[in-house]
Amino acid sequence: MKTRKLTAILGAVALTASCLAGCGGGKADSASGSKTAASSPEEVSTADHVDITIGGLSLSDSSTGAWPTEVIKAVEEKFNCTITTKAYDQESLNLDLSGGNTCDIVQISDGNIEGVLKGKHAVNLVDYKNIAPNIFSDGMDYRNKIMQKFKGDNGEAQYFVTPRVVSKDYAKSYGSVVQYGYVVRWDLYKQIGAPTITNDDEYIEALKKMKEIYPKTEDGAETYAMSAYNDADLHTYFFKGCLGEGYLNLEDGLYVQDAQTNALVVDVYDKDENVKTPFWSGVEFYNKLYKAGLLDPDNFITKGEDLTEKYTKGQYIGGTVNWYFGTYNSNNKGTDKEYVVLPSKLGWVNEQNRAGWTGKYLFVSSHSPNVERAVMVLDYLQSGEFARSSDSGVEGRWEKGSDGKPHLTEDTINMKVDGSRAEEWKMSGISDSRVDNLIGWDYNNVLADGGRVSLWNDEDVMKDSLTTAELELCEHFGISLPSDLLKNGVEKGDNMDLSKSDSTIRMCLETIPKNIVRIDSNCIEITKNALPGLIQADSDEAFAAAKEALLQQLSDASVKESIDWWQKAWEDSKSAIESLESK
Amino acid sequence: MNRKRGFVKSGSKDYKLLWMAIPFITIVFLFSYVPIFGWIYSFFDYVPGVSIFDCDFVGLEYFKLILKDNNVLRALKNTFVFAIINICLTPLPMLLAILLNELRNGPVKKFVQTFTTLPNFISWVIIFSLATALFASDGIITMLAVKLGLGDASNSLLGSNEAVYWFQSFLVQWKTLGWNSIIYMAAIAGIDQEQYEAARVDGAGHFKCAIHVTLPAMMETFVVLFILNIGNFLNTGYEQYLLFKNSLTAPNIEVLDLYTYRIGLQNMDYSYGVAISVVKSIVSITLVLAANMVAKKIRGKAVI
Amino acid sequence: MNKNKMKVSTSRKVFLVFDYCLMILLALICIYPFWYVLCYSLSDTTAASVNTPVFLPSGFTLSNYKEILTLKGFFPALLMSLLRTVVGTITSVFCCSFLAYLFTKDKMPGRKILYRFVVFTMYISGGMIATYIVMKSYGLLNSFWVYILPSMISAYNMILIKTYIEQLPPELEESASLDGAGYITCFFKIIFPLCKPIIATVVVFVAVGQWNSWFDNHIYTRANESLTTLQYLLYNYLNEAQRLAEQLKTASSGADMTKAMASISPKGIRMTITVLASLPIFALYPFMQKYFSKGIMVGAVKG
Repeated sequence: MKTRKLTAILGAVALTASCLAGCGGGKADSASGSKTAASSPEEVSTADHVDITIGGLSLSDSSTGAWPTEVIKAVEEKFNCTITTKAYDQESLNLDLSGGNTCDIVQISDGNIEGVLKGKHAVNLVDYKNIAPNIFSDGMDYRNKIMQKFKGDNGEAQYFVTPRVVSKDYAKSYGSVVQYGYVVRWDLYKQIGAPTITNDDEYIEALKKMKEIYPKTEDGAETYAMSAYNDADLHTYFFKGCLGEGYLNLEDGLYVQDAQTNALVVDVYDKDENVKTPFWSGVEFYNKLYKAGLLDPDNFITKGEDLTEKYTKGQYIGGTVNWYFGTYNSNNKGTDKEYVVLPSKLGWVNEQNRAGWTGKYLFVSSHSPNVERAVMVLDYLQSGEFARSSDSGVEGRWEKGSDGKPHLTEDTINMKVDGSRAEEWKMSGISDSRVDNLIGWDYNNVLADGGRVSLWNDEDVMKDSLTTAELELCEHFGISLPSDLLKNGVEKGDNMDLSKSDSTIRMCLETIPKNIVRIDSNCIEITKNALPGLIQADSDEAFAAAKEALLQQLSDASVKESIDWWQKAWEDSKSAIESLESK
Repeated sequence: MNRKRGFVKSGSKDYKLLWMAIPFITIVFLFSYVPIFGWIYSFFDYVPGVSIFDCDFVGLEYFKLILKDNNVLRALKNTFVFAIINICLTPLPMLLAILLNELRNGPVKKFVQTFTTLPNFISWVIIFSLATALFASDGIITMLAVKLGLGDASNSLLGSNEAVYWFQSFLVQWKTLGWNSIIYMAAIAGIDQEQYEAARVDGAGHFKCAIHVTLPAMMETFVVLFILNIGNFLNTGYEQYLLFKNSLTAPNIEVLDLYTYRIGLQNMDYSYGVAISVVKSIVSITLVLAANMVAKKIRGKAVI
Repeated sequence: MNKNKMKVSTSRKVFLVFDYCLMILLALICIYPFWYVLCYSLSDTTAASVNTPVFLPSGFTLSNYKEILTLKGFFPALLMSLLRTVVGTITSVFCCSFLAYLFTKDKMPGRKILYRFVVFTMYISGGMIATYIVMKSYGLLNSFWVYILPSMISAYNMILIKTYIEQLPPELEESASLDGAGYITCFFKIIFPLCKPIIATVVVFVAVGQWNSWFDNHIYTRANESLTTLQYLLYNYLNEAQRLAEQLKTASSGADMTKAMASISPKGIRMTITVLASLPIFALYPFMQKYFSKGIMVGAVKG
């Protein structure tokens, strides 16, 4: 009996030890596959067919839809591989990293950078420079410098690339319509005489009037101005404020960035009487809606999907963003019953993401059995050619016109709008949201052939795509595209876009220490729970009291410690970037 | 029921029995006990993806943090309330089994028996979407309540912090009641029919049969499950609560499991999450052993 | 129950009426969620979004089913789900019941300690990462056996069976042992047949558990597409909206949310997979029910 016990214990110890040894991240095997002998992509043999998996926090599973699309098929043929994408959530990503067996190409956010670097999960792309001409192309120079300095070991090595880099050959674009701002139902807005809306108060007045003439939908459901979406923490409130006051949000909204000066502004814990920060601007707006009886009574329980459902039923007459409309507009095609967006102070266009999108870093796994092929695929995803084909379709879907520039073919444009060709459209893979986060170049970069990456942003194409309500809107205001409202506003100085804001500062912040993360998430939780008291405040005094109580709670949750850290880190990041640029 | 089992009533041990059990015990060891080495993560500042040897040793830092964290206290309170309601409702499946058993064998009984288990197969995400359709301010049940003068539309059940405990417990019962009664149906099926005959001969009616034959036969199972449940006091799961949580219900709905989920994944505070689960495991085992001891005192027979 | 010609008293009649009404009401309340899901799955996407199909499908169509059934991964996933359910159920039910039988024997050395050793597994966990690393070191990643082995011995089911066996009259086994039968023969010839109701229960528990589990697929076998199960497919659909909301939270630069939101598959698809994924269980349960409804006659076995 005793011997058996002893054996068991010994066995346990041995197993534990072996497990512990097994969890050591990249270990030595990352060295064996590293560095390529090939001096150009052509020299790498692609004779054997391999599987390349791409997994990421902001990707979705290729198995849940049309796959491989025309665009992906072309890549597969080029590199003789089968490409699949996988959605990672934080949990499965952590596990795969701990076990050291991730997908071949992985996309992570800031939180995992430290683990990937320390655990040596990523290959040094510089070692593969010869077979990665697109990653190391001139247009990506600035991005690469940033990655090397801030997302690596501060030296020569580079482990990550980012999607949607804005290059020097960027052509300004306001898009065809305004995406975020003051949403109105065009038919109702017209009926109340299309009053000018330049601030929240004017907007609320307009909403009141629209609700008066449209108290119930055709099906008899009650109408409301709008509702918050509650599955994205505080986003609904501070994003509204950002648009109204001219700020950029930084992840969770405790802090924001001034869109003009790029200064860090403490958003929720706002003690400064003179500045109205986005969060408080947003909350006040919702409070006003509440007091005017315009707010959905389900304001605090509605999630994004419920919102989509209510928009589809036509129960909302306003809003701030255009991504929840569901199928309302297409259901009412050809009529003036449509949601359109009027610009608020800040228009979300012309972002200068010179180092690409923040929080979406891609790397090639050192555990991949086919590092070279994976690097080549990632490199191709970073190319202008791939960006064009996934945003505008493979060659043939667009053609060179008589002016020598590329244009979408009639057939392609027709395919997008023709409902009966929906299946074909899906299979074509054009502007497939699943690969959005993999594309290296921004939509509006101009390629060597003189056309933008996304040919949909050509003026003529945009004009053709306008709906009945949008055309009426243009006619009413005497403009050619709905987005001209914003464009003219920016030119006059009434509105602003993001061309002056620098998204790189956020990207280059040092890793947020755990205690700060803890404080921040606690503060968000406290703020979330204080929202009903604020928004349902019946008087200004009640609102002020609720605000005071919230600030006190935040202060008790050591928010000041967090503020100190953020302000210092922000300045550090700013000066580090400046010194990098001056070099 | 307290009869000694075994072939020969003697104190001698039969090692053959042990040898036969060893393969199973090994499996239990390999898959349930070996992973416990993960508890050491609670003593380190673990970063997913980095070998534990490269992480900073922090000692009992995370355990101290549990004591300092006000959120843990609040989450514990909610967990206790849910657990106590849940424990009070444990006899329900047994009651359902008795009531079902009283029905005559036939299509009705089969129908009820099958369909009461159905909600168990529907995931919480879908139950949540259904609950929204029924209980939101324009949901059917809310509108019905308004018409009957039982409430007003601006105050829906989904956004009521006061109703959280009852509403969520009701949903749990709705989802699991039929399913949990299966085990009692099996216990009833195991009753020796002779016992009923004997009771009838003694002049017992249906009701007395239920009390004196059916109920005792289920009691053993009930007690065992009850004691096991006490050990699960802190394990409420998080999915349901995560879905139904919103700004209005947050104060009462956040249970310990949900809090652990939040800090472990959303804050990437893995080590802290492990520290909480270590404490939870120890509390669970203590509770179950204590409950077992009480049961032994009362019934003279231990469960585990 | 057996039909004695007893005089049915008034109170009994009242009770029966009450009992029937209550049970039918309960069943209806329980059917409703499934009915709702079914109606939704049979509704036209656009019509359903305008008129929530609370009682009847709005705009009846089978297009959701067509879309799911033509999904190229659907049938392989269905087969994989069936396979893991069958293999997992057989192994687990055998292991749990045999171990339970052994634990009913007082003569087993160290019985108490070993029994507790198994029971405690219900309450302890080493955390996801440790478990994952252990599975990896056993070579179970992307292997079919990761569906079977870790859940093979369920303490809960084992306890249920043990409790049941202990309630059986011990004389049955004793008479067999006098004939010189060993433990294994006794288990298969006497105990197992007598345990039919509880075995049927455990079969249902294990089979449903296997059928419904997606987490192991999500964690351990995501890289091996041939091991994809139906529930994991469903999970991917169910989670889309949540994942996008998650992205919104961290999208500090302009990811195209409009496009991403439009890509969420309609609710009808999710409802359809829910229906399809719960159908096989429907088939299993009534079949197993016959083992619960007829009481065993111990006397007959003894005879």
